[in-house]
Amino acid sequence: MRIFDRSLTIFTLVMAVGAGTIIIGFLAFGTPIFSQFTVGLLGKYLCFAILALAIDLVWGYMGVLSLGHGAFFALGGYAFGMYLMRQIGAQGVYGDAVLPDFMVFIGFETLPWYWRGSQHFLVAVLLVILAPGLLALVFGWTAFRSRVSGVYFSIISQALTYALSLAFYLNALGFGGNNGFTDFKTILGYDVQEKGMTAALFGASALLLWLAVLSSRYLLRSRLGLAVLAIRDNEARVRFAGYKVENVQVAVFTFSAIIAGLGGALYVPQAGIINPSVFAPIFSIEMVACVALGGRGFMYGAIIGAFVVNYAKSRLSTEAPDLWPFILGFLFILTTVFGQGGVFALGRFIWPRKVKADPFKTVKEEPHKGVG
Amino acid sequence: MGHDALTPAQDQTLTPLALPWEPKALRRRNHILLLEGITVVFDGFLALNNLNLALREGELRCVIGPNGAGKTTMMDVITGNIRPTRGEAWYRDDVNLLEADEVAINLAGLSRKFQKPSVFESLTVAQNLELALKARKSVFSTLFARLSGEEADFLGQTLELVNLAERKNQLAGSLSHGQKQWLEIGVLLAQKPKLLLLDEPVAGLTVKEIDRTSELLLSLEGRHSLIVVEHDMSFVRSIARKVTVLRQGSVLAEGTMDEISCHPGVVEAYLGGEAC
Repeated sequence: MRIFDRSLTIFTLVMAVGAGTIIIGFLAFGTPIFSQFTVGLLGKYLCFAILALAIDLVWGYMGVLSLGHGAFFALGGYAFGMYLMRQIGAQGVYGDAVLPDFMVFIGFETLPWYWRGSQHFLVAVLLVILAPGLLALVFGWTAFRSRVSGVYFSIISQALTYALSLAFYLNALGFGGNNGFTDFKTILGYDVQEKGMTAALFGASALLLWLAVLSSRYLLRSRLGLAVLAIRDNEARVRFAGYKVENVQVAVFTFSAIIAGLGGALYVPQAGIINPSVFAPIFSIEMVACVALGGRGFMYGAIIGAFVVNYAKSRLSTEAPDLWPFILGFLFILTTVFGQGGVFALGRFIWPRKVKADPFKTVKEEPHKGVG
Repeated sequence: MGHDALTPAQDQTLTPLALPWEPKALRRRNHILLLEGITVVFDGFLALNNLNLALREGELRCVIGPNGAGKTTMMDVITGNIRPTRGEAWYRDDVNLLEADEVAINLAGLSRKFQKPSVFESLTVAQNLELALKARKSVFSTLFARLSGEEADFLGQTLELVNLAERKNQLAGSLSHGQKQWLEIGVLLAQKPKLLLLDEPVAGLTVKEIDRTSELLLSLEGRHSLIVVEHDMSFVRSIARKVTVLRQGSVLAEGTMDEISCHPGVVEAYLGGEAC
């Protein structure tokens, strides 16, 4: 099995050279070339790209549209946010060495049991993987075992993230309610405002994106990957080939949720805040739009889509905030009409490539008639 | 019930060794597939009505019948897609087809070709076969599975058998209708099944392709047991040893092609007055 084909080699080179240039340019020359703000912003885009990749894996390749993948991203973010809050320690406004400020403010006497151990970095990392992973496992198992698919799955996945957003708004839940977590001070004792930390977080995001692509690639090139694509084509037929479809779906869905959670964990220190708005369905839908624009079932497309859409969003939502939803909607319609392969397929529509068949091209069924 | 002098199959199934207190178990052991008294009701419509079918190891059986006779419903019962209201269905004496799920039924050695060709269009021809290979199919074993030399050889032979060796790296979605039908037969064979269910394998094929398909099916007889549902009477004639005629959900007649074409009920119901 060849993992490093031409496209992955190019991607690896682009990531290495791109991230290397940015980090060196930022650390050695500073603001005139890459400002701390720019590097932080690019780091956040990388995290969105990780989430987009996770969505593409289940939607583009397995045919399961999750409209609630933001939930896994947010859970990973909250899990790492807990560690960041504990790192503040006595530097908080209330100066409580154990309780985060918001807990003191709303009158918690002691730390809730699920916050125990969150001051350890390794526990936090474990939690970043386990929280989204377990939720995806339980949710996926329930849904896929009952053979919930298609639009019904999309709807309940959206209900999941919406329910979580409502839960996380509650102060009593012990996750900061409306305001979420913010005012982070240190990671592993290093100041989050430092240049070195910004570069490290950016580098870690780039590395994680690369690892996510690499592992997804491995998965898709394996025989399991064939089953994944086959499920997208014809779920019932895969059962008749002897595969437990629900197991494949749960496994890939959980893997995707873990990738999303890791992306969320790196997003939080770079954004400097996490609050229940990340659980809002609109965020998940926007990320799905990124994948649709980049071309579903095309990993690099999802990544580029995440960059382009989020860049456009940052620019336009400051310059013409009223226009942004319309532009996003228009682009979405455009991709739906002109090709499920996204903007890149649109390009291929204009400059057709020769042999390489579009995986989404549906071949017209020939008349199928029995005699008699 | 439509059983009469022309359907001796049910009697034959009771071997001389059959003991009065254990006839069922023995009957099951002597057949690769045994359907007894299967009744399926859809919203008050009787899709299958006390259907009986017994298939011996290595037998090639054709099932014919007018539209709505219950041919596809019978296939659905066998593969576990539809649970009947009454009756029993056994694959050998070890799999109760009415309790096992599709995956278990398939892994026990039973493969089905659907009426509508259903190959995986975004996989290549070779990948379609690789996916079907008889191998461990859990998530972890498939994640790390490698095609062994033996498996690769077997894939190559299967490709030759269904005439698709030259197109092995082509996307299945780009194949012609006939090639898809063959690929699906190849997919079934790659699973090394004991019993193949083929629902309209020659629908939409050219005459030449039909001839080649009957050759292929006849070459499988003996090594595999087959049930072929078809409308195309000349095709059925070319491969049939024993034919079962279904009508309104139950067996109207069973016998050789010559026997059933003389059966007055069959002539009236299906063959449309064809003389014999």
